[in-house]
Amino acid sequence: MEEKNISLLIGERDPFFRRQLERILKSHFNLIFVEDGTEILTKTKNIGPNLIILEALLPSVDGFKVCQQLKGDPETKAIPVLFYTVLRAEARVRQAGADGFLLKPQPPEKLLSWVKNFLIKPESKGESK
Amino acid sequence: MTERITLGVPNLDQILGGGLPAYSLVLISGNPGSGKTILSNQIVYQLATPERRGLIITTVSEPLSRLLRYTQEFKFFDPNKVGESIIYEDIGPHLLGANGENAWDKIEELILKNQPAFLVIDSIRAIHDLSVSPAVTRRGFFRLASLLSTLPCTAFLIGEYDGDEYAPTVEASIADVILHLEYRPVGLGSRRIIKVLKVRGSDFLAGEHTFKINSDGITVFPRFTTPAKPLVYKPVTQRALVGIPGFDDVLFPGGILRGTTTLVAGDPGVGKTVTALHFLLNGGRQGEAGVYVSFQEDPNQFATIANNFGYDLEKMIRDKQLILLYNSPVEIDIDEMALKIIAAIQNIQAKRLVVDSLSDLASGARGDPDRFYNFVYAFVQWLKDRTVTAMLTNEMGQLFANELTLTGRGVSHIADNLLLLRYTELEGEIRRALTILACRGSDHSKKVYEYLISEKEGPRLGSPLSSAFTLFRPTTIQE
Repeated sequence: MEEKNISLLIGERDPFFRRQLERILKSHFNLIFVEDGTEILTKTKNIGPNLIILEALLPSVDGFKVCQQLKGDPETKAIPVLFYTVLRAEARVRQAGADGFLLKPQPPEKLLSWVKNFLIKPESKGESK
Repeated sequence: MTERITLGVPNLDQILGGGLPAYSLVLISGNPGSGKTILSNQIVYQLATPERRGLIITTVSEPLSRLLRYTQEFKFFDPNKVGESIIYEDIGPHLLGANGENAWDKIEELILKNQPAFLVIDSIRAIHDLSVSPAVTRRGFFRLASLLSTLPCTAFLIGEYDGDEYAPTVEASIADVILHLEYRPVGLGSRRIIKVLKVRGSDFLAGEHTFKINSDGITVFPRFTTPAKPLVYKPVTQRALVGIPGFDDVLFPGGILRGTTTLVAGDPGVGKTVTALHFLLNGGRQGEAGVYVSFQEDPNQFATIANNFGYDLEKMIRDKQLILLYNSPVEIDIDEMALKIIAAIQNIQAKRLVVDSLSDLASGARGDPDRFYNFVYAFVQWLKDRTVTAMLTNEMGQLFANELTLTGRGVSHIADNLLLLRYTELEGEIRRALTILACRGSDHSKKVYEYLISEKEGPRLGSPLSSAFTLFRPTTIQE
């Protein structure tokens, strides 16, 4: 699949991190940003993204619960869910069923290759960084 | 009586007069970097549960991501509490894009939605700064205070206010409790101060208290002070044997009165430490536990000295008859030391104490002689109240001088007994001489004695020195 045809749904409340992600990922992927957990759940069903990036701290429904719901739903469980978060809570992220965890902040190259890794090599599921 | 909350920050409850009144509105003010955010987070992380949740609302003083990054460095931080027991909300965008009134709407909405038992707004100053008018701010605070008064919620408002800047603010007037934090440079170092400025309808421990921040978070060291209620003294007639030959029969017949404090002042190297050490370790031999506070001899040096005199230090420590409390004299704090000493005394039910030396301890008052004087007074009263017999050593600076400066800090008046050790020249040799200058409430020898210290047998009192010595007839004696 052409990278530009790949859709990433990003749940991020912080405008500065939204800007960072946009700067790094926009030229590679089609980005859809949302700011709260409920919206992530709705949008996932509507647009069927190729990958989801979450901040753990999301308003209304937090990232952990969002991930649990996505992974518990047969319709969405195959979509890779990655946590790019300020919270040092890898164990909890794994428990929620996420595929990847990366602590904020990270340099652009690392962030980009991390995301690509989950799109290009699905077998690498489980690798944290 | 209002229910009190134990805050989980060591000793903070004590300066608040026994915990925080439940459902208080607390203003935590202080200059940037003084520890306000850490304090509020430490409290919320200790207290919040899924049933009694904490809500931390950030404004625009610090991005939420940054706040969290540094909070996670502390041991009190628990990532499992985030989202379950503690909710983070950021109202920065509402403040940046509006006239300030929207921020108050958002705060109200978040409180009503989350129904927190503990609320933090960090910081409230930012709301002031971004508000279009003081009227908007005042209305907002009034709305907040009114809303909180209807809820079982204890709230902490964080404000970056230097010195007295907080005083005229609306949040200071609505607050039930005001805590002020300061980061103050002192000499080459610094000191962190916490002050309780207001607790509505309750007594509290006024004045400046030191606090420290380490990976555990904040620990407060309450200003050591005499209790507001005077102690009821029982006349003490029992005596503690010093155990140094000549002391319990000639100098202090029957021993030193229990619960009294003896200042052992003298020239450098004249035998103050050895005297105090024997007093303490002899107590151990009589089954009395003791605490030795040293700022110069580390435990190894101390063990070497004691073993030379035939004391089995390891056994005494093992049997809980002795605690050696060694502390570097660099950057100590007297109130922190007081807590350590008290804990050690209580740990082994000590009846004897040595502080070696007072001049090292004085450095912990950071150049404030009044603070030190008050501290020593309060500390001696504390010991008296618990019948702990103490020896405090103090080095006099001027060797062979005709002017005696005992402590230079006025504390010799606080001690009950005053023992003076000096070098003297006798028959072409430098010898040690000893006398008692004061012994409150008890008879004592007025003579000047030679003081002999043998490497194996330790110290003992020699014969009275009958010659005319200028050493004990100084031109002036100064406090």
